[in-house]
Amino acid sequence: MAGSIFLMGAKSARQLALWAGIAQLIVTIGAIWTFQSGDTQGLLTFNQQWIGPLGISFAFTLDGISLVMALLSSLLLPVIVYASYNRTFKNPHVFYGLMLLMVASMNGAFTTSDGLMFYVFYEFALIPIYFMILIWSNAENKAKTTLKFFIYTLFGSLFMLVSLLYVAQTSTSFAITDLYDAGRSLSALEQGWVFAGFFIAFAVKIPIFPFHSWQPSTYDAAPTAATMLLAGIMLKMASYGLIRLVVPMLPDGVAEYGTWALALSAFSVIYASALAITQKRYKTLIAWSSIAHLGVLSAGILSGNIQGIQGGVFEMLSHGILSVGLFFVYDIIESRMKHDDMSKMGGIRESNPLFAFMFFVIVMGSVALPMTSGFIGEFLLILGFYQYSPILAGIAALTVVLGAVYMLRAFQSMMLGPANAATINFAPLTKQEKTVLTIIVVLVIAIGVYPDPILSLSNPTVENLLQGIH
Amino acid sequence: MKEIIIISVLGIVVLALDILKMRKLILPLTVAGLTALVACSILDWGHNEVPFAQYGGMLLFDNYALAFTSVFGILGIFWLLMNSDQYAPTSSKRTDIFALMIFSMCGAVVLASYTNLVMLFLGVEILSIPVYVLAASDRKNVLSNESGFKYFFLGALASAILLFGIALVYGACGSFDMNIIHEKVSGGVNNGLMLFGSALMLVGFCFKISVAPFHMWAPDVYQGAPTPITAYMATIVKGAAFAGMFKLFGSALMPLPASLLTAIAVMVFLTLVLSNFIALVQTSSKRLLAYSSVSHAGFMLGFVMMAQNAPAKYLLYYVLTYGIASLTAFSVLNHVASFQNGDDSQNAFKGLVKRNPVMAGAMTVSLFSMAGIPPLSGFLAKYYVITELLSGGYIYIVIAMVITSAVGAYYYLRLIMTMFTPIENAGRIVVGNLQRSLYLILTILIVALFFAASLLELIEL
Repeated sequence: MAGSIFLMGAKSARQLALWAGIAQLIVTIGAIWTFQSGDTQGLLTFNQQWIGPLGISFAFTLDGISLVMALLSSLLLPVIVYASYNRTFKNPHVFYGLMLLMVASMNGAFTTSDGLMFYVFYEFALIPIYFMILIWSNAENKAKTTLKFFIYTLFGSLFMLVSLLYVAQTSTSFAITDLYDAGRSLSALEQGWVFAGFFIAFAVKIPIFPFHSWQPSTYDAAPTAATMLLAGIMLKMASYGLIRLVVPMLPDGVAEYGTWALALSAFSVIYASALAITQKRYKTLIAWSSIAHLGVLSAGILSGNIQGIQGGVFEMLSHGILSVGLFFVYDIIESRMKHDDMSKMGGIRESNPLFAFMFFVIVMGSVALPMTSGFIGEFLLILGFYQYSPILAGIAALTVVLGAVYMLRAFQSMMLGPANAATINFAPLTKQEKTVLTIIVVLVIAIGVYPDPILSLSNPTVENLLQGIH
Repeated sequence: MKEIIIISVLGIVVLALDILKMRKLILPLTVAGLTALVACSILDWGHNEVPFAQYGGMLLFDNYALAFTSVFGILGIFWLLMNSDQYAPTSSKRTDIFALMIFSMCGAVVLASYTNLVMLFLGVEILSIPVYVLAASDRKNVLSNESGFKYFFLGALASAILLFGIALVYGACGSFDMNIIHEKVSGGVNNGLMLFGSALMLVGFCFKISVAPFHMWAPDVYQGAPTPITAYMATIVKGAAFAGMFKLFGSALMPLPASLLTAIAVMVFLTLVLSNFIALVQTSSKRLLAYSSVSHAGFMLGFVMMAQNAPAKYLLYYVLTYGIASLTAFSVLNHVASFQNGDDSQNAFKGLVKRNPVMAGAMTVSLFSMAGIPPLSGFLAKYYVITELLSGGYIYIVIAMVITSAVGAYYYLRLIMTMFTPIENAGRIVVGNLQRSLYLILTILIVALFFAASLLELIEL
C-alpha cells in the first residue's frame, strides 16, 4: 500500500503538489486509524519479492515508528509546498516534481521493511535534492556546495552499504527482522565494526561533529523550500535508520564499542551550540542550532532504552516541525529585508506584533520550554541518555541552556528593541504566511500539551524492538 | 554454432555490398544481421550443443557463450545505430568502419565460446587487429595515428606474452584443450612451468582489459581514437576480453594458486586507486571517461578473482550495464564535441541541459549509473561484485572499492554539474531523430535493468 501511494512524484505544478501533499496526509491519517483499530496485517503491509535468491524484496510495513515518520513527512509536505507560494521558481513543474519524488523516496525509506531497499531509498533521495539546490539556488558557490554535500553523504552511505552487506552475509534475507537475528549473532567486536560503518553513514547525514561540515553551507545555499525539506524530513532518515537498524541489530556493539559515538554526539552539541552563539546571520544560526539538537537526538537513541528511543521518535517529529517554522521565518524576513544579518534588524515587534508572537512560540519550542513539543522530545532523550552515562548526559543537557542563549539573543536582536529605518516599514504578514505560521504554532503547542497520541502510537513498536535485545 | 557463421558471413557481406555499390544497404543489413545473431543465441538457449566437429571441437556454444554473444550483439546494434550519423551513407568510410567492427565482433564471439587455448589466442587476435586499424581510422589526425600505433605495439606485446603463457601451459599439461588442462590442474600439476604460464596469461589479459599497472596505454589510446571507436573499445572489446578471461580462470585454470589470487587482488586495488585519483585531475572529458573505464575494469576484475565460485551471470550483468552506460556517455561526448570543433574538454558540456535536454538527461543518468547510485543498474552491478568479494573474505578490497567509488562520484558529479551550468548564447546541439530516440531508449534501459535484475535469477549461468 505505502509504496504505491507515495510514488506520485510525476511532474506537477504547485497546486497539484499541494493537493498531492494533502492527499498523502489524508492517506497517512487513514493508515494511523487503521493501525489504531488493530489491523496490522491486512492493509499496512506490502511484500513483493524482487531478487529472490538474494533475499531482496519490495517490502513495506507501517508500524508505529514508521507511521510517526510518515505523519512527519505528510504533515510537512503540504506546509512546505504552501510555504513556498510566495516564491516563484523557474520551471515550477520540475521543481515540485523533484520535491514530490524526494518525498516519495523518503517515505519509501521510512516505511520499507527491507534493509537493502532502505539503502536504495536513502541514496535515491539525494538525487532530487541535489538538483533542487544546484538549479534553483542563488548562491554563488552553489556548485561547490552541492558537490561537497553529495560526496559527503555518498561517502558515508557507502560505509553503510558495506556494513549492511556484512550483516546480510549471515542472514537468510535482507528483511530487517532477519537482519536483526544475523546482527545479534555476530560477536561484539564485529558488531562494533559494523556499527562504526553505520554510524559514519548516519553521522554524516544527521549530522554529527566531525562529519557535519557540509551542512551549514548547504543550508545556506539551498532555496528555502529545499532547506526545509532537508532539515525537516530528509535528515530524519538518518536518525530513523539509527532506531530501525542500528539499535536493535547491534546491541552488543553499541554497548561495548559505541561509547565514542555517544561521546561524539555529546561533543557535537557543545561545539554546534558554541558556533551558533557566534553567528551573525540568522540562517546560519539555525543551521548550527539544528546540529546541536540532533546531537542530543543521536545520543538519546543510541542509549538504547525506551525513553531514549521514544524521545527520539518524538523529537524527530517535533524538530521537523520546528525547523520548518524557523526556516519559514527566515524566508519571511529575507523576502522583506533582502538580508538576514541580525545586527541590522530590531524592533520588528513594534510594526508586526503578530509575527513576533508566532516567532516567539517557535523559539520557545526550539529551546524546549515545557508545554511545547520541543520539551517532550528533549526531556525524554536526555532522560534516556542519563541512564547510559550521567556525565555525558549532563554535557548534552547544556543544549537547553545554550539553546536559550542563542535563540533568545537572536529573537531579541531581531524583534525587540527600537525599530530602525529598515525595520519600521516591515510589511505585514500576507494571508499565506499567516496560515503557514499558524499551522506550525498550533502543532508546536498541541503536540507539546498533549503528546500522548504520538507517544502511544510508537510505544508498542518501540517496546517490541527493545524486547528483542534484552 | 550458427552464431559464429552469421557474424563472419555478415562481415564479408558488408564488404561485398561495397563492391556492388549498394552502400545504402549496409546499415540495415548489419543491424538485421546482429539481430539475427541475438535471436539465434536466444533460440539456442539451453540446448547445450555438443562441440562442432568441423572445428575440432574447439568452439562450444553453451549458455555462457550464448549469453555473452547476445549481450555483444545488443551492444553492437546500439553502437551501429548510434553511429550511423557519423559516417555518410555513401562514403567508403562507412563500409570500412562497419566491416572492421563486425570482423572484430567475430573475435568477441570466439572469446565467449572457445574451449581450446589456440582458439583463445585466435579470438584475442581477431578481436584486436581490426581495432588497431579502427583506432587509427581518422587518418589525418595525428592523435588518432598515435593511438592506433600505440595500441598496436602494446597490443602486440600483450599478445606475445599471452602466447608465451599459452605455450608454457601447453608444456606443463601437454594439451591446448581446456578440459584436459583442467583435469591436469585439479589432478595436481602445479609446477613452476604451469604457474609461470598462468601468470603470463594473466598479464596478457590484463593488458587487454587495461588494469593497473598495465593500463598506461588506455587513456592515450582512448583519447586519440575517434570517439565512436573509443565507445566500441570500452564496451564490446573490454566485455569480450573479460568473457574470455573469466572463462579461462573460472574453468581451465581452476583452482587458482594463492599467489595468482594475491596478484589479482593487488591489481584490483592498484587499478581502483590509480584510475580514480588520476581521473580527478583530468580536464578532457574523454580522458576522464577513459580513466573511468579503467576503474570499471578494476571492478570487473573482482569477478575474475572470485571466478571459482561466482556465477558468470553477474559479470554478464556488469558488462551489459556498464556497456550501455558508457556507450551512452561516449556518444553524448561525441555529439557534443563534434558541434564545437572537436573540443572534448569538460567545459564543452556547459549548458548542455539547455542546448539539448535529451542528451543532458541521458548523460546524467549514465554518469549516475557509473557512479553506482541506486536505483540505477550500475549500483546493482557494483553491488554484485561487492557481495561476491565479501563472501570471499576480501574485506579490504571492498573497502577500497567503496572509498574509490566516492572519489569516482566526485568527478562524475562535476561533469554533471557542468552540464547544468548556464551558458550565454550557445546554439542548440541538434542530433537526428534516430539518435534522440536511441538516447531515450538507452536511458530507460539503464533504469529498467535495475528493476529487471530479478530476471537474472531465472537464468542458470
